[in-house]
Amino acid sequence: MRGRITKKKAAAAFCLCMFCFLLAGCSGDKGGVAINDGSGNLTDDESQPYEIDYWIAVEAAGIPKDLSLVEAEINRIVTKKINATVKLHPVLVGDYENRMQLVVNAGDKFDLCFTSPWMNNYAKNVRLEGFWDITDLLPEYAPKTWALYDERIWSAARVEGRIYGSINRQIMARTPGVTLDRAMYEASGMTQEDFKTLDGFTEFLAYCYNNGADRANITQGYDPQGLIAFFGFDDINGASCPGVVDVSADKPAVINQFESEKFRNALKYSVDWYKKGYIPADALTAAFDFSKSYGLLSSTWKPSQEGEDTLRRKGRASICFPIGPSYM
Amino acid sequence: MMMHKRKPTLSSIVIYAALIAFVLFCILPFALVLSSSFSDEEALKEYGIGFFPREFSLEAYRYAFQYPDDILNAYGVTVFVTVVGTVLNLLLTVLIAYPLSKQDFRWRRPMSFYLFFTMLFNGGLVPTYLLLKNYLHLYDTIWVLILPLLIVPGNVFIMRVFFQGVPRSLYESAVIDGAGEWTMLFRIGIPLSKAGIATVTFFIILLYWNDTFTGLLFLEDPKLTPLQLLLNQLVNYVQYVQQNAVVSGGMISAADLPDKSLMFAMCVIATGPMLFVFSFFQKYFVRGLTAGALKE
Repeated sequence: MRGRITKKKAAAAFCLCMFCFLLAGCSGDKGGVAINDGSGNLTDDESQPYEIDYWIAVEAAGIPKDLSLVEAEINRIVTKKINATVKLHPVLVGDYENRMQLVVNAGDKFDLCFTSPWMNNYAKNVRLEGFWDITDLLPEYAPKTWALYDERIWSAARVEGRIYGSINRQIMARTPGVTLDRAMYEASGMTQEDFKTLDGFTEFLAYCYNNGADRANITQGYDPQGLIAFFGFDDINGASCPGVVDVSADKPAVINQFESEKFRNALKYSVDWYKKGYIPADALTAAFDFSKSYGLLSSTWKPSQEGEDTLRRKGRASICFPIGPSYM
Repeated sequence: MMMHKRKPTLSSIVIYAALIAFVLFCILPFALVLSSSFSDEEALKEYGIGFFPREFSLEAYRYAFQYPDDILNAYGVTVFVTVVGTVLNLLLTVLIAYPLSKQDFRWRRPMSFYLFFTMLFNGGLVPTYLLLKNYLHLYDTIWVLILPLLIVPGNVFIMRVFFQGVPRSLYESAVIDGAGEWTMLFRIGIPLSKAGIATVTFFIILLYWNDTFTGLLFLEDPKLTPLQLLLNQLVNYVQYVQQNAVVSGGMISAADLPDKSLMFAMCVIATGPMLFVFSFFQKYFVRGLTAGALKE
């Protein structure tokens, strides 16, 4: 009898717990203590600087030891200009995605972070209500930034017509180009006109293959982020996800790039390069050595490309030129 | 009287062969890791891993120790966290397990259930994050590496079994001599449960030494980075550069970075100290492993 009563009490306690969990799950509250509701832009006492929490991705093997110096210098300028201080929250780039997911899902308060389609996905965070709607705040509080870009550029940051992030200044126009080993290019006798088509690039790779090039590092093939440069396809949710805006068409439209004829033709070239050995057989697992490369396709050709790539190739002279129109 | 030397039977040969094979299965992978950590990266890619390096190279260790201050700092943090965490964890484990082992403790069953329940359910990652950051304010402090792991219910139950193995008559005679509960615990219970304490201590040391996850989520200050997290970050960085060399547009060529040999070197650096610790605890470990199955 005594055992039965204990079991009954345990069952009742268990049911009560389950009911409580169910109620918690039905809650409409976003959870978390500090919700990023945008109301904390100014403290009540405006003489006290507001602390801006800024999560940054650090591209290094470890957090730089002198980051505090950078923070101090930032604050020296920012305090004077907008009566605010910046608290940097550095996270290594390999961990940034996971950490920001946790911060957003926890509803933890923060003011700034890096977001893009390829890291800390912008659209996903908007869906999770992790970012504040700043569509009306931008023209009012950041008129110079608002005026800096055309509406066509701001539209890239719109999700269902609203803006949740401010665009940072980077390379916006994507131009397809090539980086070639200068010595091999000059020996081949080819001209820049020959590279307007992929047949010309293939001919150059064949020349490298048959004339003493290090066969493990001739080329890497296409830059996977180069959809916009090579095809005029602006990806919506990352280069590997079906669904791009074809800006090369007369009327931009959303298409599935994997069903597009020009994309499939380009893939055939890649397969051909792989079969002929221009792309090494262990490309998926081996590390490609840029310093020993001969022919690279680039999706961000720019005037300074030659100097940069010569440096990347450890002083081996490079020649870089565009091979197609620019897209934005 | 002469002792006759027994001839090995077929069954004993089979058993010994199986045990030797098992030992080799355990030791040989580590030998491969050790050898590969001293191999040249290109030789590893071309010839694969082997028991002897094709081309000897210290490049992986050179890369890992390029900032020796970071490694030394990480070792210091890990040793501090492990020592302090082990002492506190063990103390609490013993203090919880001892009353649970007493048959006359009134709340034995509810407390055991309460502990057991936490082994099955927890709040999840987000509530844990909020609790540690916003309520307990442990975020970015060294105590976040110690306090959340202070009680491991499994260890409590192992210790409970060991305490139950101490004859009740010893406690009763101690009571007659005027001993209190603290005296019985520290003068009778603990000395007679050394095997259990050593086992649990080893588990706790491993727990703190290998913990990467806590630091990954709750630390920003590089001076507080523990060893496993530092090594994990190094490997992640190399892999990030290799996967995103084009996107990052950096000047670093992925081929310059040791990848596979670095991972093996990380294994050796991280597990090396534990080999020495294990050899110290070995004689207690075997007895402790079967503790959970024994009941008085």
